[in-house]
Parts: sequence; structure tokens; C-alpha cells
Amino acid sequence: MSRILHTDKLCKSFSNGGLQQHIIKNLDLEIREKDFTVIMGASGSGKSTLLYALSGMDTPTLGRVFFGDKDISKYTNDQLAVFRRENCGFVFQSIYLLENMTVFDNIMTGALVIQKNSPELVKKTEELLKKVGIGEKLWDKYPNQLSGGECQRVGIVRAVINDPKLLFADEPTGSLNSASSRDVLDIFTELNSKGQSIVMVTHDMKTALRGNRVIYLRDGAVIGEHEMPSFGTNDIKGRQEGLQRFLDDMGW
Amino acid sequence: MEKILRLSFANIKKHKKQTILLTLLIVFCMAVTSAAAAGSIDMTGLFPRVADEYAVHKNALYIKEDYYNDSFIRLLREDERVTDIDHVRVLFSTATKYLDKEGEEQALYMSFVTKELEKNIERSPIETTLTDEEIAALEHPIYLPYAGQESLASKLSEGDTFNIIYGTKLFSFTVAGFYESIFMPTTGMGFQMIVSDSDYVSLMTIIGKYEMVLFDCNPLDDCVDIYLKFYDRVEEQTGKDIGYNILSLLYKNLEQKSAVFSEIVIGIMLFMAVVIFIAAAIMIRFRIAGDIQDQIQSIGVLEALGYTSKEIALSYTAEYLMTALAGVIIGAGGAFALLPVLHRVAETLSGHHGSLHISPLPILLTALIILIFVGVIAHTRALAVKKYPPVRAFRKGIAVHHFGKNRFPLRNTKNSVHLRLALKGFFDNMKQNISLTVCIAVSALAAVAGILIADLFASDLKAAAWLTGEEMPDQIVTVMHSVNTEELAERISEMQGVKRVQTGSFSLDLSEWRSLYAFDRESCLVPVSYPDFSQCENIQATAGRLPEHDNEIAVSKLFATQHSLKVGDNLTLECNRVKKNYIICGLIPSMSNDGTTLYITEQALKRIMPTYRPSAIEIYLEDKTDRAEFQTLLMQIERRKFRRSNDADRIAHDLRSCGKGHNSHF
Repeated sequence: MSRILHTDKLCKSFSNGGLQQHIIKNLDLEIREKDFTVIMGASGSGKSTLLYALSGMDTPTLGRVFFGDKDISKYTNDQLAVFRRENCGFVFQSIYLLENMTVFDNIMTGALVIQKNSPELVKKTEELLKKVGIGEKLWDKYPNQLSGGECQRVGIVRAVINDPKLLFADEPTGSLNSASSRDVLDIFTELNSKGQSIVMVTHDMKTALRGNRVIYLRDGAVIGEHEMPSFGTNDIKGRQEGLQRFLDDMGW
Repeated sequence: MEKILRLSFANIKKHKKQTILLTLLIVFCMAVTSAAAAGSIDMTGLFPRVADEYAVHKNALYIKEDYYNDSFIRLLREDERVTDIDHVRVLFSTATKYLDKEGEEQALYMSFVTKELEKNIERSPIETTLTDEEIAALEHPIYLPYAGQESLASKLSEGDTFNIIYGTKLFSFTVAGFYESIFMPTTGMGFQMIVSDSDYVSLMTIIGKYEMVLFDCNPLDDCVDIYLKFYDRVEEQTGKDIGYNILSLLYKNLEQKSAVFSEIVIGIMLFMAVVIFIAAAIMIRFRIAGDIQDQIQSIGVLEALGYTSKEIALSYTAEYLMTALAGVIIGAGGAFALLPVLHRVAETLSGHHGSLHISPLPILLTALIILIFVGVIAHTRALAVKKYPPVRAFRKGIAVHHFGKNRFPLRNTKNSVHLRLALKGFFDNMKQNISLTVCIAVSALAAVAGILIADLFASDLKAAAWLTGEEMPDQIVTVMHSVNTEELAERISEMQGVKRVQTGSFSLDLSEWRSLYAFDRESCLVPVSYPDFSQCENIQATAGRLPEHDNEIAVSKLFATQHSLKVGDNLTLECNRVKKNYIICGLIPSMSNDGTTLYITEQALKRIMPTYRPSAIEIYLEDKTDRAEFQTLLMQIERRKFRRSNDADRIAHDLRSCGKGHNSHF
């Protein structure tokens, strides 16, 4: 499969009371099309920082990030915003639905940044919402009237409404219960089965099982990779054992 | 654009109450400002419209009959700028009074004409609620200017009795109606009244006869200059000082005078509008800053979705522009409601009744300025969004992992944790708290300003005193010529109940008034003199200071504006061919005497008027002193030393009714 995104000696540092804290160090990474890439690591290993740098949400301190053949590491904030709207979708751990908008308007806010309002767009939004199990009764509700799982499913629809080339997810099940987590992960699996490229950050093994490629980070560097077949194509137990062995080797 | 407006609408829905409050502020600002702007055009144009419609001639000279000569008409006609001349005989007096509803005498300049004579002066219709038969049945009908029913101390209506006093004679009339008088429409300038032919003949035997010379000139020509040239030619011809034998009522001066009070009202309204606008601007900035902080994570989400910082800033700008637009539209409606009220105020103050003229341009311009202003303020503040790229926004604006000083750490709490938390919160949000403090301070300032202005105008006396630039003693007495004013003042100051006294030049006896001239006798100034102006309570200098030395004077702001004078300029005064130089040390907001009041110390006045002596004593009583009792006591003790006396209530009535009679030149 062709690569959709790659980095060249990517570095990201933060200033901490005058001291520089290096989070990502000379990281070379490739993200392939149609892959469900999972980035794992211990707390503080730089998973979210890497995700933001890959997605253009943050600019690297050193090194380069290529999306296709475009070097996005030198883009201005507004250029990055334009890049994100055309190519990326985001699902956040804290979900971040806009509190002062209804469910439907939250989706439309994401859609109208690049598409014009039309009956087709409205129909597409309705279909996607139904697909993720958000019924019509909830479309005019506000986020504080929904459960966590329902909010996250709305967040996923918002992230995919513009058919992004790459979907980024930062611990999407982090604040959900197990039932909601399962529902959300099923959606991701289905999206990936239809060809959606996904990069997900997680520290949860059950979530990581959904991916077909697991990258392990430690101290801002990739120390291991583990490939798996697409979810659903082999037995869960074997998949789980394989991943467990890999994680044990990584010191998980 | 739709995506931006969606964000704006969502924000408006979220902050409904604050949006309504801001809208109300803008409504008020728009209503007051646009009404002031449009109203000023209507109010300042009121007299010209009325003059165009009703005046047969636009300039009038009152010349005492025994001074008048037919050659004056020829002299006036010799000026090529004069286009039309006429003259009628009128009766006129400055010594007339009327009785108010309490039976108190009120001074009022009066002029009397018949219906026939009046047709040569104005062509205004008479308004009356009486039928022709009812009027015909009246023995002594009289028609007053509109001020008679609007601003006279005792507002009159048709059928009321109007008693006029001249000397010891009382003339009783019945009000038959009201009309538009161009030249004498207010209590300040005097009333021109229409009486029956028989009453006119009766009055003619005692009231002074004047020849009212009426003339016109081209609008571009200066009627004041025409009059001054005529004045010089008359003096040359007669070889005598004109003094008070000719009194002028010129279109240019009448126009200025009719607009003066309106300009004050407009000025106050504009001041209020500016204060409100500043409060609104601060509120907008404060709100946007607050919104950005409150919604910073949502801003991060929008940026993550692909909204640029410009688009997000535009959504805030659009939000406030929509709020302002709503405010402007409603405010414009309010302005249209306010304009007739302002028009009525102008009619009452000026004494002229004219049609309301609403110009839409000032309203539109005001709306545009408000919208532009709000847009600029909102946009410049909203661009702060640029400081928060997505990751920083998700971290609630924190750029680095360095959080600054930990103020009021809780581990050091000794007493109340709540107080410590409050202090912690206060210092952690210093910028917002400073903005909030500024908002509150501005609001308090606006409230205080409003209260002070309301207090100033709540009492007629206070407003009148401020506007006339004159003292408001409880009692004024004019002393006999043989009496030593200073010694008498000293004795009065020792009387029980007296707070203080001061001697002054203000004499209740008009015959004592003297004029000083400036600019080669082109301007006539009425001196107000005190030994020490620092003792004055109501005379305040808004620029410079009050005179202290014998080479200093203060003039009115109006006079200074008319003659392009400022503090520090020299002015040469003339009296009885004696000329002296003075330095203008201050400007006083004085409206009395058409702004021709001159403030000068006794010593300075004696330089040019060596025979000057103060003839008036102004008495200020303690609060608990009964005025009537004091006056009685004063009259008993010192009666023989006084020629005239006047107490505070009469002073107030005089101020309302005829401006203390200072209007020797109207």
C-alpha cells in the first residue's frame, strides 16, 4: 500500500521553566493508506504529541512532516487549518462537541467548512448519524443532553463528514464505559473496512486490537512495530496473544 | 459566509441575556446620538424656517420716538445691501410687569401693536380656541406669543386674565389667543402683544412710543454690519451718543439666540451618548476577551476542523455586528420618537413654532458610524484568536509548561480559605478583573454624570445660575447714592442670620447701567464687578481663571467665540472716550446679555470708569434664616439707605421671566 504520510527526523520540544523538554526525537515514521495504525506507549511517551504533529495540529520543532508530497511542517497556522479541513478528520478523547450547537449543527459546522449547504449534504449527515446509531430524536438535542457514548459517535460523524483522507483519533474511548467503547470501536472498524485510513492513539490493549498495525513509542522514539491482519479476519484470541507478546517485549 | 454566520448565531443564542443588554446599550446610544444629530439640524433650522414663513421683514430696530428722524430711513436705504425697508409705530417698555397667578409682580419687556400694525411685522395666523363671537365680546382682548402658554411663569390659556403693571397703573386684559412673534417671542426677550385699537390708544398715553424700523438684506450680506454702519451714520448725523435710544433685533443675532439653548440640550445628549458608547465599546472588548477565554477549547476544535483564525475572528465580528444592527434599527425608531420631543423643547425654549424637519442623513450616518465602530472594536479584539493555535487552545491558552508564580498558595492558609481562594482567583485573572473594574468605573462615572446633570437641571435656579453666569444671592439691595456701600455691607454682614455679603455692580435700577465698548465701539459689554471674585459661588471660569488684578477681565465663552478670543489675549475697552487695555484671564459660560457680560474687578473697572462705585449689596443668608422675616427686619433697620431691594424668589422669577432685565440689546 502506498504511504499517505511520512516524517523525516521529526522532533518536538517544549519549554519548561527555561529548560527544553524533548518529547519526540528524530522520529521517522510512515503511515500507509487504508491502514488502521495504532500508536501505543506508556504515559508521557509522546503519543498525543506525535499525533498532533502528524495531523498538522502542531508544528514540529525540527524535522519534516510530509502529507503525500507536501511538506506541511513549514505551513502557517492558517495554511495548516486549510490543510486539515481538506485532508483530516479528528476524534478527541474529550469529544469536544460545541456546547452551544445541536447535534445536527455540530456536524454541519464541520461539514460547511469545506462544503456548501445542500440537500445532499443534509441527507449524507442524516445517513451517517443513523449509521452510528444516533436516531432522529437526538438530532436537535444539545451535547449536554447526550450520553458520553452518544457524544463520541456524533464526534466520529463530524470527523468523517468531509471524507477525510486520514482520520486521527486521540484515545477516543478514554472517557467511555466498556459498552460505549465497544460501539465506538465497531464504528472505527467498519470505517476502516470501507477503506478509511485511521491513526489512533491509545494505551488500551482492547482498543489496539482493532488496528492492523501497532507502533510502540518510548521516550519519543519508535521502538517497535507489530503487524496484524484486519480486525475480524482471524480469531480474537490469537490476535490478542500476538499483541500481548509484542507489548511484553516492548516492556508494556 | 454561511459557516461564519452559523457560528455567530450559535454564540448569540448562547449569550442571550448579554446580547440583549448590549443591544439595549446600542439602542440607547443610537437613539440619543441620531436624535441629537438630526435634532440639531431641526432645532437650529427652526428659527430660519419660521422667519421665512412668517416674517414680513427679518431685521428690526426699535428707535425711541423722540430720537427718531425720518432721515434714518434714508440713511439705512443708502446702504446698497438693504433690499427693503418699512417702519411702524409700536409701544415698548422695559419697565413693564405682569401679575402671575400668585399675584406676584414679574418683570417682562413688552411691546404693543394692533392687528393692523402687526401685519407689517409678521404674517403669522392667530391660534385660538375662542369663537369670533367670544372674542368680540371681550372688552380688552390680548394676543400673546406662544411662550405665554408654554414658558411664562404662570402658563396662560384663552380666557385667562393677564394683568399688566406699568408704574402704579394696572391694565387688565383677557387672553384671546396666541401667535408667532418673530422678534419678541420669549420671556427673556420680551413679548410683543397684539391689543385692540382702543387699548392701543390708551396704552399710548403712558407707554413709550418707538419707531420700529424693519429692513431686509440679501442672505449673504451681514445684517449686523449693516446695522453698525447705520449706527455710526446716525451718531455722525445727530452728533450724540445713541446709548439706549436704538435697540436692535437682527436676524443673525436672533438666529444665534434661538439656537443657544437647543445647542446646550444637544450637547448634553451627545455627551451622554458618548459616555454610553464608551461603556458599550468597553463591554464589547471585555465580552469578546471573556468569550475567547471561555470558549478557548471550542476555538481549538474549530481550528482542528479546519476553520482559520480569521474565519473564527470574523464569526465574533459578525456576532457583534448583528447585535449592533439590531440595536441601530430599533434605536433609529427611538430617534424618530425622540425627535418630536426635541422639536417641542426647541419650540418652548425659542418661543417659535415651526414644522418638524427630519433629515434622514444624520440618522443614517450615525447608524453607519456605530456599525463601523462596533465592527472595528470587535474585529481587533477577536483577532486575539490568532494567539491560540489548536494545541494551545486545548491546553486552555497555556503556551509553555511554565505556569508562573503560584500566588497565595493554599498551604499557607491561616484563616479563611474562601478569602484566600478569592484573592488567588483575583490575581490569576488580573487582566479580566482590570477590564471589569474599568467597566464598573465607566458605568459609575456615567451614572454620576447623569445624576449631576439631572440635579443641575432639576432646579430652575441652579440651571439658570449656571447658564447666566451670575450670582444668586438671597437678597440684593441697591443703595442710595449718598450711602457708603462698603460700610453698609459691613453692618449688614453683622446682622443675625447673614452668612456673608458682597458689594457688586449689579443695580436693580436700569438707569444706572453703563456699557463698556470694545473693537472700536462695535461691541457693547455689560460689566459685572466684584471686589473679589473668589467669593463668588456661581461664576466659574471654564478656561483660565476669574480676574484678580486691575488689568484683567473675563469674558463669556460666547463672546470669545464670536470674536476669536482666547485666554491671554488683549482687549481694549472704551468708556466715555477713555480707552484702556486689559488681558483676558478667563472665559465664563455666561448666556446673559447675549454673552456680552464682562467680568471685571472693582479696581480694574475704576481704571476706565473712575467714578464707579458699587451700588449693590448681595446678601447670602444662612439656611435656617427666614427670608421674609429678614427682609422685613432689614427694611426696618436700613430702609432709608435703599433705593430698591429684591429677594431670592423674585430673583428666580426675574431670571425665568426676563433674564434679570439685562437684555438691553436683546
